[in-house]
Amino acid sequence: MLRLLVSRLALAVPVLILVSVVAFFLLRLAPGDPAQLQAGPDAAPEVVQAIRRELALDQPMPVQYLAWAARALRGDLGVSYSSKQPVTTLIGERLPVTAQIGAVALLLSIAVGVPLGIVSALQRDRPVDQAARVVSLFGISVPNFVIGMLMVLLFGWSIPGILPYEGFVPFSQDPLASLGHSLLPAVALALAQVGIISRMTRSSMLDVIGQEYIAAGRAFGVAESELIWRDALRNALVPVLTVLGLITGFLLGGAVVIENVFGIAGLGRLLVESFAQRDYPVTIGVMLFVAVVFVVVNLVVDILYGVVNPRIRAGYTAGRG
Amino acid sequence: MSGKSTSDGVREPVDALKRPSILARMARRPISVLGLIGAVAVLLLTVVGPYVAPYDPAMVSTARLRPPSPEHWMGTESLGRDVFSRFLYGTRVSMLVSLGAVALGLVIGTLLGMLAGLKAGTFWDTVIMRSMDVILAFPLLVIVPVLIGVLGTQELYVGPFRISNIVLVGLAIGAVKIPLFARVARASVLAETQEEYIVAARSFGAGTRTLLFGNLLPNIQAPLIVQAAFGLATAITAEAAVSFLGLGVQPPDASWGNMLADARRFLIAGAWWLVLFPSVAVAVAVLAFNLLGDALRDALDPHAWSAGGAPEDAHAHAGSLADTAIPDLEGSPV
Repeated sequence: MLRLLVSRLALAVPVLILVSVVAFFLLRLAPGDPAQLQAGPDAAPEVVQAIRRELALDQPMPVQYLAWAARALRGDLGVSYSSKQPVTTLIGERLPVTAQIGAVALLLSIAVGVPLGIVSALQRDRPVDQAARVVSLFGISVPNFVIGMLMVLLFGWSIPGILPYEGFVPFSQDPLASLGHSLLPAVALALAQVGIISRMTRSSMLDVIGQEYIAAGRAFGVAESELIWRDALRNALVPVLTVLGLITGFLLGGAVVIENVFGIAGLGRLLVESFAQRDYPVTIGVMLFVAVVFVVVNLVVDILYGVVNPRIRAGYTAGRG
Repeated sequence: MSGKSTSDGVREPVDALKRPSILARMARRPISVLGLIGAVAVLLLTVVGPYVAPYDPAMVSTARLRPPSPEHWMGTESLGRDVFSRFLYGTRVSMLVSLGAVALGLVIGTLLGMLAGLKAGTFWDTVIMRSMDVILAFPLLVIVPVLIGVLGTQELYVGPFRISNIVLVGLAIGAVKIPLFARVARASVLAETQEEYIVAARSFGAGTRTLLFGNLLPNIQAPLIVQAAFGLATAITAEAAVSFLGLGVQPPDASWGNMLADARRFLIAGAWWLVLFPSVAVAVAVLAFNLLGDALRDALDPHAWSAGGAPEDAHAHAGSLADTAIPDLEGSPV
């Protein structure tokens, strides 16, 4: 078990380090003098000099990187050029919004995708399966922000007043309204993922049902329904785990556009807004944060998959993969 | 493929000429035909579109935000520009960006992937594949805008020509596509190096370059072509999303994405014609290339190639069985 953890961590750490290098590199590549921009246009030269020393800007690049990385590990991602607030504060403000919508989207996509996949597998090639296939294909092909905009058109112009199509209410303020505001964006995000999850569940179920131990169970006279729901399902759901890491990436990326469509002040919007304002510390900070979350989620999914499937675990610890 | 055996046990060779052509194999499923037609239609529009446009797409007028009419088939937008003309020019821009991105990813990714596969297990293999992992660690819609923005602020010149914004978008999306092709190429090369013809070629003293381009490349084409079709679908989505955010193709140039960005502003006012046509275009194009990829995959190789079978790649695919209708989604932005 420990070997499993260590082997996966050993893969993730270099990636994280390289990710931070890329982020730092992009930050330094951006135009303008970071010290001047941070201090502001009318700051005294001594202040600018002090900031320059603090950020180690007069040192060679590798030293700068180490200084930046050390600060980042302590939780200091720099200061926004425009609002002078620490980047971590800004991320902290916006994160719950994006996280809530993402969580609702994830729950929706699993709640709809898994049953749909099971039904598609059990009713293989029948009308339900064909319909599900078409729906997933559309869900994957039509970009989520297009779906989002069509929703805004529907709920904002055609039949207004039923569901909120803009803005956001924090959960602590008004839970019901908060969920209401989360619904449309979450559905827009979830639609594509439903397609992925249902197809994955379907093929995995079909795989498992074809296995010998299921046939053996039948030969022993075990009831079909018990075979499906007790044995097949449990094993079929495991590969779906592997897709969860991928889906989180999609949700994180999709959040950027969806928040734009629905006018929601979340992390995705922060990325885009800060970018338009050339507020690079914030942009890079958000980008780094998202990448780290993504790597960590994939790490957790990898470990979970190893825990659940002993053959994969053996492969990891033997150094393969 | 085994031939029929004659009475004395000798197998007759299969007549390769009798195998149905690629198009015929693709046409077996009606939905594949739809994909093919859609893809051809989109490509045709890309080439022909601007020549058929009735107005100058950048020409502003006083007829603002008019719904579709006989003079303006798709209506006009906020500055009075004809939406239909912008749509036709935008199709070309979006498709060129996407095609360019896939071309970049294909060429560089395949090269890197083949090298990594050939030198599997060595230092270079690890270096190349870890770099690919790093690129994949960033969600696409997070890294592409940043790449475009940061690169776009630098003065990039090829000779005397400044690299235009449109090219930059294509480059940025292409850069993110590289890992996909690299993985497919590497996995295919790993499989092929087990085959006897590679062993034979090596024993004849074939150098790396001969092996790569003479022996391996012709044989790993199939999954790469399939990946290219899917990659085109995701590239179109990526361009649309990035331009929608205002970080891609900039006005007055039109693209599907930035037409949708305009449309967003006037959605509540009920300007449905601004949303409908670019949306349908994006949806049809992405759907068509997805279906095309599916069809190519079935036609070119019944084992439904996907990028590698190692456990670390296991979570990167949404099903690699032949009976699923799902494309390889790695790298898809939405």
